[in-house]
Amino acid sequence: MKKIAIIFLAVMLVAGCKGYLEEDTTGLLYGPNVLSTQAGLESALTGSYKGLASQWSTGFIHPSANGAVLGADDVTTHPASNKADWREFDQFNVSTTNQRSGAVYNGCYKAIQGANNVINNYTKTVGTKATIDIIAGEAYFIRGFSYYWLTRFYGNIPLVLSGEYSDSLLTIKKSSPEQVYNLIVADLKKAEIMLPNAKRDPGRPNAGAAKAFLADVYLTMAGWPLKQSDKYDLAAAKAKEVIDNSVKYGFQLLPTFAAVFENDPTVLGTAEAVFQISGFAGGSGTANATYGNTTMPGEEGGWDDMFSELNFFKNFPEGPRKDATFRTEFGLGATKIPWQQSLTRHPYYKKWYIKGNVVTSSSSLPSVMMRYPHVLTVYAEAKARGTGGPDQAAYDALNQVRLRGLPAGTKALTLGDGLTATQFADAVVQERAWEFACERTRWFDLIRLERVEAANAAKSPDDLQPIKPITKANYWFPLPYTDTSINPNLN
Amino acid sequence: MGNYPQTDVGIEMEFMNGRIHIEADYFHKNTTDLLLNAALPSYAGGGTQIRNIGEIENKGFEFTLGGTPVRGTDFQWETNLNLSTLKNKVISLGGLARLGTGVGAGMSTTNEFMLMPGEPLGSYWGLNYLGTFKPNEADLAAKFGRVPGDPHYEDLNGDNSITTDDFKIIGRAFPKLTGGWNNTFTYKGLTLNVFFNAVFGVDKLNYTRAAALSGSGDARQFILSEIRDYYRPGNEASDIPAFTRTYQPFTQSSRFIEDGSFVRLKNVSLSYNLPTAFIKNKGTIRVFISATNLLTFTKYKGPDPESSNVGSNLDTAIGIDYGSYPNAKNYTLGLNLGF
Repeated sequence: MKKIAIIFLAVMLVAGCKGYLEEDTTGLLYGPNVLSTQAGLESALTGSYKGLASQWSTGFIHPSANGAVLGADDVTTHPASNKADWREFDQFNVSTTNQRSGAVYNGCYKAIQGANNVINNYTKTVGTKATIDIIAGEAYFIRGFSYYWLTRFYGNIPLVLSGEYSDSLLTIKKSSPEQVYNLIVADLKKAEIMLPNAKRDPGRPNAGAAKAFLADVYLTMAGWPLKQSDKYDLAAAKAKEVIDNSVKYGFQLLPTFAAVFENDPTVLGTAEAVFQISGFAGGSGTANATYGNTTMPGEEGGWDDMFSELNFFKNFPEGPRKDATFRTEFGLGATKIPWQQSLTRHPYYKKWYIKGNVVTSSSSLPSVMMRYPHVLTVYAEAKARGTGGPDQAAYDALNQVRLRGLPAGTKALTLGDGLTATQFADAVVQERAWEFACERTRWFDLIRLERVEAANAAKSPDDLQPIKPITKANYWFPLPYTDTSINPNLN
Repeated sequence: MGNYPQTDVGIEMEFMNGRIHIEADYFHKNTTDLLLNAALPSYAGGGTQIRNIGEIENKGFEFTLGGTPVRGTDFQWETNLNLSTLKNKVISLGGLARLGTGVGAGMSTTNEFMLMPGEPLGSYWGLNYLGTFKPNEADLAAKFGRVPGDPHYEDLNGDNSITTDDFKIIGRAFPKLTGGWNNTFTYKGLTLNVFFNAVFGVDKLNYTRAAALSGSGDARQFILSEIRDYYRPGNEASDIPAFTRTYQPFTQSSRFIEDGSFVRLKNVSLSYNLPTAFIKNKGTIRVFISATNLLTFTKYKGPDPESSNVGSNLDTAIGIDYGSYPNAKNYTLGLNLGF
């Protein structure tokens, strides 16, 4: 009996040793033979999204990106408290150690690294080609989307195209905005072909989202810093494609502005979301912190991170949109304090309140990165600034957005009103300021149209002022010190 | 793992029948192929990479003086004093001009320590705090977009803007001198043991204080009582910044670097062996009372100069105090029975 046991053990050992030193790399997310399975490719894609959505650390489901665009005239922050990081943006004094822009920077590069991994390997993946193309299409979209945020924030940036680490990355040089935009356009053009018309999930892009972002990218390329004004026509044509096929892509303008900002965490998103990054309060690091505390006043248990600038609120046209945009009385109980008597003496943004005024920083609401009316205004402005000036469709697009926000019975703008093309385009830009107030839009409009200085000069003296005169150098943030201290070629 | 050629020179002497002994050692050790956690840029995925790079030199003295100054029949005093110094210096970083390490605390986004050839390990990296801008410095403050009362940092490169380009070495986390002094006094059945330890020439980065005094990160309130001394009309001598709209604090600055030198009565104990006759030679009984960390002499403003450290206990990232738990004062009363 004892002998048998020993022999059995010996056999087991031999069997166990066989192939012991051959490494099985299936399932590894890097290396030459990886992502050979469709499931592996899918999980690599999921990892890529994670960079865009890590609560409090990277990406867009915490208020970092909102803080970084405070240089616009729609939002400001607390003049004291622990808001030094936020004030740096509002006062054009951004340090290389700022945590807010850093979270966007780190998150976008994390997403890019994951997307590169998918893009560089999907042709070798075995599986259903149609699905693999969608996975790759989403990766192209994520990469284009991420570089779009990076170059608008930082201008010249390292253009990383590999999914794997190599020492050569430590000395990589910066690429110019033109080089970065060329990649963004190429990526989004791939994405619009490879993506389906219907989103696989509310938090993923479809072909319409890729086209909508491409239109927005063209509009930006036409302005500062590239000033390729021929891109206005491309922007208008691409936006028109989305508008003409909005039913196919599932995009629509909701009947009322208030319906867009009901902010019910049990609803996965609205049909107005062209692209959203979803939040999930039940997970670890997956909840969305851009709603609730961050935009609520101290009187309601909020953090006073961001609220409306005074002149912006004063000039905002009355109507249902203004009512749904601002919170002007504070207090969750019976006692209400008008904003003029509150601690910060500013109106706050109701559009970021969670349904039922729940005081939390962790909700399942999505960060909507583009709404359908954005596409309408891209068309209207690009058409006006491009060949031929605004047509009836441009007026229709602007009127849809405008009339929803204004009191019932407001007269539509018509071609007969006698606006010049430039006047019309500027009316669209102004409309975007109201419609997308505190939605990370105004800053980019001011930059591409080189109006940052003028917008800040029109601020109320009771708001935070730029610490020094604004120059073009303030249009971009300095690259994070974490990276410039390692790679001297970034300086 | 690393390569460690080492040179030691030492002498050992005894006098007066061993009543006094002296030991002195000098050591010199060069460590090559150092294992270091090198930070990677975020655009390459971030995190750190363990690398075999560089060379570090360590040298120092160790000195011991011991003896029995009093050796009577009833009373005896034994004493032992040891002191050691350590000087280390980075010789090379495998071609890199400098290498940041640290970021343990979450108070800062950048490395708290910088390794540079010619400089020791544990060199703090940050801004030099010059105090607050004073009323007669309004013009100077205006160049930076500040007003009197705002924090004034040294503008190393003279570009009228305070950035990470103005960072420099602002302190040393490795002590210049450490020592211990142990004494045992016996008188008949009584034994008194007194042990001091001491550390000199060390800087600590007091993030606990920074969090309570600078209103940055998650800390919204200024919770230390000394904030009452903040800069304001009539109190312009204060270097605690005023509450202004142009206030921009940097926690990684010499404002929160403090001298962490201390002398501490680490242990004192008194014990008494009952005379054996008392228990008829059947065993031993000893009663004792002891206390640890009873007294500390230090200028350090945190609760405990000895307690450390956040994040990592790597020797490239020592000396940060961010809410680290202080050593407790312990009192022990005991009875030892032997059969």
